Amino acid sequence: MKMIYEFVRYQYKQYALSAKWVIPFIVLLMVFRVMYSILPIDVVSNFSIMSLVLFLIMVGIGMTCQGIEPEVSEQIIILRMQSERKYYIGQVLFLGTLSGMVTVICLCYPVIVHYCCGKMLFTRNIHASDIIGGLLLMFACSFLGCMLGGIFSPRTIREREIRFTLPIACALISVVRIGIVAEVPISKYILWIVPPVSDVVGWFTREEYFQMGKIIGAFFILMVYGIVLAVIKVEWSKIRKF
Amino acid sequence: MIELKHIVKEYNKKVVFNNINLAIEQGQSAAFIGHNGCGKSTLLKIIAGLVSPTEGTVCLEKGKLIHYVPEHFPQMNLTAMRYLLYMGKMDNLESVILPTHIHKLAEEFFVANMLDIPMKYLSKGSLQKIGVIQALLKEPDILLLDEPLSGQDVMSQQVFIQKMQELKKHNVTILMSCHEPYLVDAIADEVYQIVDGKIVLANPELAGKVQKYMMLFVRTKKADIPENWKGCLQFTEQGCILRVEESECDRAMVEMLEAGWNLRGMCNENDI
Repeated sequence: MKMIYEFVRYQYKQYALSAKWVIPFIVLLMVFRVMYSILPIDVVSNFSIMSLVLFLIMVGIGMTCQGIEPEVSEQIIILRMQSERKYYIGQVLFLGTLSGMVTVICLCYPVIVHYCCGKMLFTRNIHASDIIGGLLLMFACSFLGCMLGGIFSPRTIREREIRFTLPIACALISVVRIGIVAEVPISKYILWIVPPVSDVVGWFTREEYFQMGKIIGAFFILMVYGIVLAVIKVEWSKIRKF
Repeated sequence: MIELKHIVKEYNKKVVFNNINLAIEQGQSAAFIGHNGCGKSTLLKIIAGLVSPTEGTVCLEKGKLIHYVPEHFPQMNLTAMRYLLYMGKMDNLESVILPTHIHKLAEEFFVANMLDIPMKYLSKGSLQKIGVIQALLKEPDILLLDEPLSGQDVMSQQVFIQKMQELKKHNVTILMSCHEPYLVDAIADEVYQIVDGKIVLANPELAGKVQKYMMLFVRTKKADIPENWKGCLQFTEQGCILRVEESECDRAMVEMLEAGWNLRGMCNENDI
């Protein structure tokens, strides 16, 4: 376990020293600027839309994180850890904890702004259930996005063009899936494969308050999808080797 | 300890290995030699389980720690010290003694003053030394060396050979791919040549049974490189080191002197 912990720390250091976090961070700041420039806004619907945006940003982060470790260095660490599985689990943990950190930023920013602006940002007071609901929904979307981006690594897909276009296409379809299925019902038999982000987030867009039952259901569905993607990533990488 | 059974490896329909069988015991040191692109590095990676063979199996005792020195150590944003600290911690080495241990190794390889420089600014030779140091932080059961000396200076090469001989005494299995005959002579018990997708035990000459001598030459202004000895020369800052078999010593020396080099020393390689 210590080995995986040290590996995750090492990945953070590598990521921090690379410039790969800069663009997603700027995009996130721009999103904040746009989303919180018109007052007042609805708590639940804002957190839901933010979850969708976060999903897209995290797909990008998941994709760019794949290039931070040179292949030779990966080989050295896999041998050192004496287990490919441990190495890939370490990668998943890194992406998972990174998702958690970005989620906390995305949740704290509006809350802080709300209290700093004399409680003018949202249409009503923020309750603990809003924080918990927002945290669970955003984290699940963020984790799912990161796993979706992370699955398409240079190791698993050698062709650069496919590696970049496929996750972006998957992410965009995930966000508009509910609309596609409404227009072409038969597409649901194919589109079940892309993460059901729009369907799940759609449960909350017209709600005034988060309902814990719905939130737990949404969290469970999104996390299961994310974990399935993580397992596919681990096993696929193990099969493909170098 | 390591057994390769009927290994076949194909890349883009080109057969790299064709039904290779090989057994390596604990503590054995073997070198794989052959032309560029013959599959030496691939063989090391197959042994380590980093590359899958197209057919055949690799049997490796469980729980064996393998360390790997790659041919080209990557340039990274991390400083060498930071990188080595992480590697040491992943090796479960104690954080208290780790910096001292790293410094000691870095001093031995003459890179102590480069530890705080980001690795992306280090030269090829210095990076290669960092690659060696990371593999020596903790004594492995199996050490894989892929052209370990590429770019390293003469003094560091001697330190490296000394370290490998210490590891051999500790029963570490050393497998390497290399082109330098003197390294093969100094480290390998057995030499395998990869030819046309097959592995054959190389002849005694390649296996280091023949006495070899080193001659140290310094360059004069009119010095030229004799065609006959091009492949045996290793260049240094002031001149070069010529490694030849005993029977060729006299002829090599005369030709080098005639080509404008000055002899400054000579010794049997085994005496170093």
